[in-house]
Amino acid sequence: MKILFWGVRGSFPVAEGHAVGYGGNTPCLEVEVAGRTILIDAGTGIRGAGQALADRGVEQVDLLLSHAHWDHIQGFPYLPQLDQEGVSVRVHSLRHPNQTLNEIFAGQQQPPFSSRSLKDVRAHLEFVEHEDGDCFEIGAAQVTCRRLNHPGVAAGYRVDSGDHVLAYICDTDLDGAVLHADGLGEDANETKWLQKLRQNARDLGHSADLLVCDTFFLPEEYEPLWGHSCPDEFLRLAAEVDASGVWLFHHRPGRADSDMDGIVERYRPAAVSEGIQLHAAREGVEISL
Amino acid sequence: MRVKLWGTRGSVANPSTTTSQYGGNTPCVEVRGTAGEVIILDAGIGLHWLGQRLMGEGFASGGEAHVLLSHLHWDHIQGIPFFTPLLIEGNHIRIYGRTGNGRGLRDSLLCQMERAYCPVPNFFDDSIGALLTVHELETESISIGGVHVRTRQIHHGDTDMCLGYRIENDGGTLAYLPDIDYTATEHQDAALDLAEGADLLIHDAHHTADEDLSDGHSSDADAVRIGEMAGVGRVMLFHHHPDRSDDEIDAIVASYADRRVPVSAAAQGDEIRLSS
Ligand SMILES: [Zn+2]
Ligand SMILES: [Zn+2]
Repeated sequence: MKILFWGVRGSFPVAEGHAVGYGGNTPCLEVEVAGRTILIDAGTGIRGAGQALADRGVEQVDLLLSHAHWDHIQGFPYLPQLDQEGVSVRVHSLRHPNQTLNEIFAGQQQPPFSSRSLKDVRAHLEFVEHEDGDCFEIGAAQVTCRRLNHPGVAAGYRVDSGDHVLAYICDTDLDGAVLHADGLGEDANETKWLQKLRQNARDLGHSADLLVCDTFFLPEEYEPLWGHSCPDEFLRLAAEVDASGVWLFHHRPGRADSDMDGIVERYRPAAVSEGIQLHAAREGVEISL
Repeated sequence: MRVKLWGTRGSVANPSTTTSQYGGNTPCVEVRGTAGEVIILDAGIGLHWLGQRLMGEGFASGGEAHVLLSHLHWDHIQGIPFFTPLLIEGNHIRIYGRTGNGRGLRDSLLCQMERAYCPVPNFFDDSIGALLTVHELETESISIGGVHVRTRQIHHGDTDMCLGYRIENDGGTLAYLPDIDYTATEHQDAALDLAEGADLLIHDAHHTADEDLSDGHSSDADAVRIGEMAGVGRVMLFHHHPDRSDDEIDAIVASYADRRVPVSAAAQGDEIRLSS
């Protein structure tokens, strides 16, 4: 398995001097697994990813979407594959209660907001909606999709291939006391749901080689209503589920490169004591498992 | 009048080492009148960073800003949910524009805040943060303090409505034509009218002349031609294509070195003073 970070920034793209080192593109990962190409999230980083795939002549792409917040879909209209006839693009996401995935993507690409209509797409575009807990295959890889605690409808993914596991757990408030997830029904028991969504994150991360984490906050900045986590919670999770590598991800827009270095330094002792390798995701970094 | 560029890139932000000189943030231009009027042209991602600056200039407790939108494509409005002064009670943020789709400006902007897409609270809800008012521009001229604003519809591909602006204050004149095409000669009329004799013309230069110009944008050659026809003091190429590197933009600017009108490329962070 090979993983490449094309976008690591949360909320919105950051083209500012303070962020050039770690990168300012919004979330996108490329995962090469047993001859197949998986993209995770469609932030602005997906433009570069798609260009690299086009250069290599890749004709089949599966996109795993965590959720439909702008920073996770805003690059999609600029995915070069959409203009290529004969290329297949499959978008996977959790099912939304009141909207189809197609409607959500078409909504972004309609007037007056866009002149790039989904109707003009030349590739074979398919939307696949999953339920919480679904497992499906992409080539020889096993993918699991589970609901997370974030406003709206958000999912994390686990990609199993051979002996290697990637877990993408973003965006979520892992240990917060507020239930953010939408559409759980009138009589949803908040405590039970919080436990279940926490368990979902554990299941996704179990024995992962690579845990890509929503660490938008530091504890001193934490806002309970935003649906994001701090490194502390993810280090705790990684220790619980025997994950070996933690990658801080979805960096806050104002976070300077020197801040990121400082955060890694601050949490390294805690990680080392648990036998966890700690990194901050940086645009352009490639990992081979 | 003082003009500062917070976002110069068209279509989609491109944070990259190859774009760091001219900038990767989507369009946002700050205009300050001599009496301190705060006018903002377009609300691309650059608006967030302008907002952070404004927080240190009175908007942490109570300030008034006027945001003039050219049109509602994402690259011109995507900064709105991340404009920190909107969170602060006591601020008054006024958004101006026109839709031309039968649906008002306010309703259109509300779609951007839909829960499926938007991670922040809906600032159009009066109980949250600043007072936010939306003004449908029905007339061609408005005054904001001592700043005179004139607007006309300009042609931008199949977009229902796109506005260009002419801004005059204290003897200085800025013309702003961020997204415009000249697929028909008569599209020049509104552009020339707004730009006539301006000290500075900020003009769409998304393409180079050899590229496909059917997507509603101009080339650098169009920008310079309109600038010369309108007799402007200076042409600034704007709305750079997301993939256009700093080196490529440098080469484009260099190719106009011996033109009658000075030509430069809009660079994020640049500041220009205009006065009589
Ligand atoms: Zn996010
Ligand atoms: Zn534009």
